[in-house]
Amino acid sequence: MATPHPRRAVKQTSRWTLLIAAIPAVPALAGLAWSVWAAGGGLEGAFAGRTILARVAEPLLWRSAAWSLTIALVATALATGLAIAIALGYRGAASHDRVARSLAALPLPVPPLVVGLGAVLLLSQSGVLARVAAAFGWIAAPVEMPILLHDARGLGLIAALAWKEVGFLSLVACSIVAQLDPELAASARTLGMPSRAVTRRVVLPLLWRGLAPSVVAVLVFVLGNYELAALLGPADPLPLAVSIAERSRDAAPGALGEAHAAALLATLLALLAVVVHERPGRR
Amino acid sequence: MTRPARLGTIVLAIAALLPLAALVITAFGTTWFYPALLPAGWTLEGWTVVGGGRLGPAVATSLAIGSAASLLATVAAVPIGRAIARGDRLVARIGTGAAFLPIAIPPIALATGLQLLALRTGVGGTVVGVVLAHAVPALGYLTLFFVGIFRGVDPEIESAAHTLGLSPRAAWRHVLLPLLRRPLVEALLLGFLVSWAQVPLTLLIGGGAVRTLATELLAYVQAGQDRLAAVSALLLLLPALLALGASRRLARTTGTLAG
Repeated sequence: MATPHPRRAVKQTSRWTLLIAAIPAVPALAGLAWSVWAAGGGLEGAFAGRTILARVAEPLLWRSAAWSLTIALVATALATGLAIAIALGYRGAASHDRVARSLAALPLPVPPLVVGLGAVLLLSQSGVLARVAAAFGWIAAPVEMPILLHDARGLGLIAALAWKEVGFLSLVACSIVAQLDPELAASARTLGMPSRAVTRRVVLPLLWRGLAPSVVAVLVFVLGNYELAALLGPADPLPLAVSIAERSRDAAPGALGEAHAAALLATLLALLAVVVHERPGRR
Repeated sequence: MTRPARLGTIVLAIAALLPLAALVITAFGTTWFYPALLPAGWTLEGWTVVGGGRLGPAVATSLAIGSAASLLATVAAVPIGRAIARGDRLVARIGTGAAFLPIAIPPIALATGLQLLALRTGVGGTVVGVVLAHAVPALGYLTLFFVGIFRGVDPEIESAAHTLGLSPRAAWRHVLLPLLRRPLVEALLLGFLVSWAQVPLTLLIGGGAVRTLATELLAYVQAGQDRLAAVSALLLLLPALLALGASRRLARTTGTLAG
């Protein structure tokens, strides 16, 4: 029996390895292919590229996308700011520092749906915060409590998303701060830099460099989150994730195609955030 | 401890614990009318539905789907993770990108695409379809997990086993599997958690016919049934908290957790 040429054998192994390595993407790519086909009118029996463009260009969809992107950016910025403040404020080894870090990480394992219910119970006009405000005499009736849920400003949704994500970001930020070389800050101080400037010019840039990938991951998660948007988001504009779900369950002709166009837009936004962060030449 | 630090810790404690406290109070409280700060009394009435009604079967379905999806994803992720970890730079790039894709796509967008696929293959609206759909993101997470695990396992161990005359299958059974026992348990747990709280994939692939604990919780909140929603939420939270406690304990015993 002839033995295979060594180089050919290596190439074959490599091809098989590549195929095996690509398996996790296969269902997602198949789903995307179906979405392209359905968004282009395939379900109605007339696929065309311009149908996808027309559906993606629909103003209502862009309104949803712009609103969701704004909420995601604000919630991510808020969670990032809090996580950095916690990591810098409680970086010691004392027991209160450890307690504070544990408290900050507490939301990490809490599923988004549970966070959503917690937000409803806390922030509604007859929720826990309204009761506390009434007990202090700040409000006389539930209607005096500011509307924080299902509002177009998305205040409750931003608070819930930030609460959920501060757990993950503070965990990452605390571990980055713990691994920073103390000699760097000490050298900066020896060179005459005030404490506040050391934090701003030495510690913060290093912390941000380590934290940035996690911030992008959080932004992608927050942008695509369905559960919290469904429970706390407004009816107008409809959050992008909710808009996809509503359209995909709508029996109206063409609604499913629109749902797939919206899903493609959501995928594009999420992948764009990853690509922008991972772009070549980025430090 | 300085005054601002103490104040900060108190604010942090309130912000972290208040939503969870509200859940516990709602799950065990009787009538709780505005503006009372606490319910009129305490009851276990909400918990009686766990054994029957809609919630009992939903919990059982969630457990079954979570276990099956996790097992499926773990079995697939082990060889894929090994192939990526042992491969060259191209394999590593394509492999990690492929594993990252089902995680990066928003679940609702992923569910919309998979919905048509499920309907065309006849698994739409079935438990099997939901298991397969849940396994998609779980496979992404677990592949990345096993890439990390296999990068930490010296490939020379496998080579030595082959040199000593073990067949590839025997090397897997007698050398690799004992090494992977703990990561396998952790992977099964992680895969289960990915599925356990999954909503968009269940809603769209299950098409309302498959009811899990997470979809029941969503329905209870939207219907304003706070007590049942709080009971469901605490049940949904339980495995995640158990897993976190177990991982922290494990990390402490192996010295991988600081603070």
